[in-house]
Amino acid sequence: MIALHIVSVALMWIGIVVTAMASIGCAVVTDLYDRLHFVSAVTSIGVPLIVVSQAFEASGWRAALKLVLIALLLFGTGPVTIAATARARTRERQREDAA
Amino acid sequence: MIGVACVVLLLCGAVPCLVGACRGEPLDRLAGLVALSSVVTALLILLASAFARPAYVDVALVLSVLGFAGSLVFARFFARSL
Repeated sequence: MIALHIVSVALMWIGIVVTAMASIGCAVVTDLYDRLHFVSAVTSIGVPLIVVSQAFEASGWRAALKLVLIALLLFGTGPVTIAATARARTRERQREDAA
Repeated sequence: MIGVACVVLLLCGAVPCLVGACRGEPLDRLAGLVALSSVVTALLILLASAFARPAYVDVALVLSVLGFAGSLVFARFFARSL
């Protein structure tokens, strides 16, 4: 149990550090593609690490399964949203070039 | 311990995303919103542990689905391909 607790705390703090650094980077840069680069670190590494770390501390397998489901959802849907945002910028540029 | 983690995540994770969601072109703001919805999901899960209220996890689950749908709708709207 002690080992699981240590793993959980370590994963949680790694996730928080990654999320904090990527969020600060996201606020600092101005170009959209640079910003999406930081957002992908938040949605694919930082937040799933925090969620999985809480799954280690969950009271039963049902609660742990729910947390793993949330982590998988965030891990799977983040890149889709980022690709859609980048595609929107590409379409916008194409329309500007055509006009 | 988890309370400290919540405060750090709120101040160093959610606030910069909020700043990013308030500055720049509409698509730049959308990028900040995508990051913010993920960070708030993680924050709700940490709060569920900190206050020992498992009900907050359900809120995080709903937010992870609705945040994705909302961001995708905005992105498709900006691409004029909805």
